[in-house]
Amino acid sequence: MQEEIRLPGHVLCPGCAGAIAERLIFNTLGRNIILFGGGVCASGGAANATVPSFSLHFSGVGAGAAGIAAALEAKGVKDVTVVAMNGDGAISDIGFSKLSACAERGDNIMQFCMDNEAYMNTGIQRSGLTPWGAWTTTTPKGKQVGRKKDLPMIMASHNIPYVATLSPAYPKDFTTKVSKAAGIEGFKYLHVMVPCPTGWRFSFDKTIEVARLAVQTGIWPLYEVDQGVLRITQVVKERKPVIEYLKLQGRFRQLGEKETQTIQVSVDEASARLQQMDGKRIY
Amino acid sequence: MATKKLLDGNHAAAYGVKLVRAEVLGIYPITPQTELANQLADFVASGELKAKYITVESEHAAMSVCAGGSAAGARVFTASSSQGIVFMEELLWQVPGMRLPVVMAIVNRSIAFPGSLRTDHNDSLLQRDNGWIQMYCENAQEIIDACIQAYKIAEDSRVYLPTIFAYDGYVISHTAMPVEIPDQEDVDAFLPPYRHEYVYLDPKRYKPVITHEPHSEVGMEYRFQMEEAQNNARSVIEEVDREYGKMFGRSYGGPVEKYRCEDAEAVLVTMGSITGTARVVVDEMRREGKPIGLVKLRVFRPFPVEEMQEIGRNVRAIGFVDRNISHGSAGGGVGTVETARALYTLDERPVLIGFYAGLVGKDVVPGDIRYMAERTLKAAETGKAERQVEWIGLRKQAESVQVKV
Amino acid sequence: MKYRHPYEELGLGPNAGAGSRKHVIATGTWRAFKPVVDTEKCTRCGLCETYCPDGTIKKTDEGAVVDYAYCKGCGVCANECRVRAIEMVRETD
Repeated sequence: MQEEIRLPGHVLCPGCAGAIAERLIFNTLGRNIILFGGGVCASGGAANATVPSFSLHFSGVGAGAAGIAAALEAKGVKDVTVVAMNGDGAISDIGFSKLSACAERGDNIMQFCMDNEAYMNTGIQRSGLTPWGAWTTTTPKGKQVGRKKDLPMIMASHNIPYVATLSPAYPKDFTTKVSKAAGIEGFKYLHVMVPCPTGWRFSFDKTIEVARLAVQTGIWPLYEVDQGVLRITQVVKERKPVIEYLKLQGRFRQLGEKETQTIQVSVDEASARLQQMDGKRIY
Repeated sequence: MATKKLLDGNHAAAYGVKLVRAEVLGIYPITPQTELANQLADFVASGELKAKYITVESEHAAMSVCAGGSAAGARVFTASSSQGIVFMEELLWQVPGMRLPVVMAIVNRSIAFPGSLRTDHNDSLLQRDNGWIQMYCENAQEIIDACIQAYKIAEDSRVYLPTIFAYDGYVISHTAMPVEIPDQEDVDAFLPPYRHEYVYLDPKRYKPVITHEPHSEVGMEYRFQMEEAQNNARSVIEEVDREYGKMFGRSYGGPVEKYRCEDAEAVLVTMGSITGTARVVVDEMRREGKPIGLVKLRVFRPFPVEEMQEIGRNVRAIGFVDRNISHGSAGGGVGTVETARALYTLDERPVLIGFYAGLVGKDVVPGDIRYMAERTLKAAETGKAERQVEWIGLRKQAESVQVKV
Repeated sequence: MKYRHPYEELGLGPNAGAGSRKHVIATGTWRAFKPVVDTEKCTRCGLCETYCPDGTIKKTDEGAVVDYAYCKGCGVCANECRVRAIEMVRETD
């Protein structure tokens, strides 16, 4: 039995997909890493990982990890990976410029975005990665205007060596991508979908089910952009209708027929676009 | 052999950083610091300084880079001014709390609004609460010396607190003087490689400690540790200055330098470039037989309480020249208020006048200093101050005098 | 002699030793339901171990084993078990 890198007894919610994702990450990467950032739900994660960890507050995206990577380079240490984990709020809102700058400079770090689609730790407030129509405490009628920012594509446009989307419901795909990224030099961006029972309002034993449906409905496509070439890594032959995914979550309760149709149409369009790009160089 | 070069403040600081062999630099340009950032980029590009220069996207990122780099075992450096300092303020509380010996140069510039590209000390003095050690430099020579000393102080295992060395923007940063640049070998002997005893991001040295108490429960204890470190810094600063004097031939008297204070009835206390001008005025006034002295406050944090008390016991009046303001304060700028507290326990207290001079970049000319000295001497004579706080150089002030030097 | 800082046992600041202080609490007390494994049905596939947010259920040769000191009773393991070998049973004590 392998000694857990991430000790049990942490304060994350029961059924937290972030915790599942973090375990997958740590078990893949091993102990020879330096962990930067707060992890999902700010520091709840890193607080229990028995690896050297360093965190600046929530807004400290990217640059701190770049400093660590630079110090390791200055010291001639080559075998230690710098792993940065930040939430969607830190990455898409308060730290967006910092993330972009890190990518542009090509700092040698592995950046994970633990995307639970809102500022969960402070009480489920909306973020730039909250999907259209979702209830949050600051969008009580559902997010009316504004779609979810397509962060993986934005990061791909920075011409970084590796971008990938990950889901804890597909652990083999997950660990393959993490291992692959660990072997690449430069700025790697891995966007992890993290269903949140507390914030998305579903029963906490359904975490993996929700994550699986997200991929099967096409809402969360699993792909990677490796040296600019896009490849869909989890082919979904017959996409399930989005209602299968939406109906499990209390945060979409206020959506009617029309809204569900809107979401279905946009997912259909996005999937078609992605299919067209499959196997092609996009940047 | 030490070389001599005509350098302005910014370039002197760059040479200092080169000599200490800084390894990770995260600097964002801001007037009046840009030449410092540029010169360091040149040193790194030419290979004279083997460091990683990270062209950060903001000052917030600059200090983040320094925090990460320092924790991971590298010697770091950054520099900023005014708006940049305020932009990185969040980090300026995190870094001392994490006990990282980051060294930062603050090229003093007033904070907007009202703002200016020119100097006052509010940007560096704003950090007086968070645990950074602060030193003020009078001229370019002192800058290169302070830079080297700063690392030695910050990395001392009794201290482990980040350190600021500040100098006035434009007045010092952009005016040149012949500067003696110490020899690299001597600096290497004076300043050993950086190795933190307690904070290190190294998987090989890592050992987890399981606790059932969250960090927040022991926060006050961490602050107690930091205050002890500030107290230790008092003796470390003096030690380092003395050692520096022995090695390089230049010593600055520790946290405070007393200039012509023997048998002085009144003294002016100055920080930064005003000191240089004040020396000239004090010499002139002494030639006229006036019992005036000058105290150069070199270190603001930790505040030199004992030294100020010793001065307070021996003079009748102190005039503190504050190139800063704390709006709505109990009376005077930051320096005046701190000095008042330092002197509070004396059996016999001198008169204390707070002077606001040079705010938002207003020039402080010899005439202003003479005026302040006269006012302080008068207070020494009469035993009380007509006004507790005086504004120097304001337009429409009847008594302000601009003299041709 | 090395200088001893006050409260040195706490480490020097919250990041001492690269964040050595790990805060662990007895999350087993959070449970309302606990997972009970039918070791006969269990195929030792290891999916429950992969999907556990807390790392408290492990695959062994004797079937899946739960660390009840920390298990929060979220039920993800029971929901994902392909052969329905795990049942969520109401905590009684």
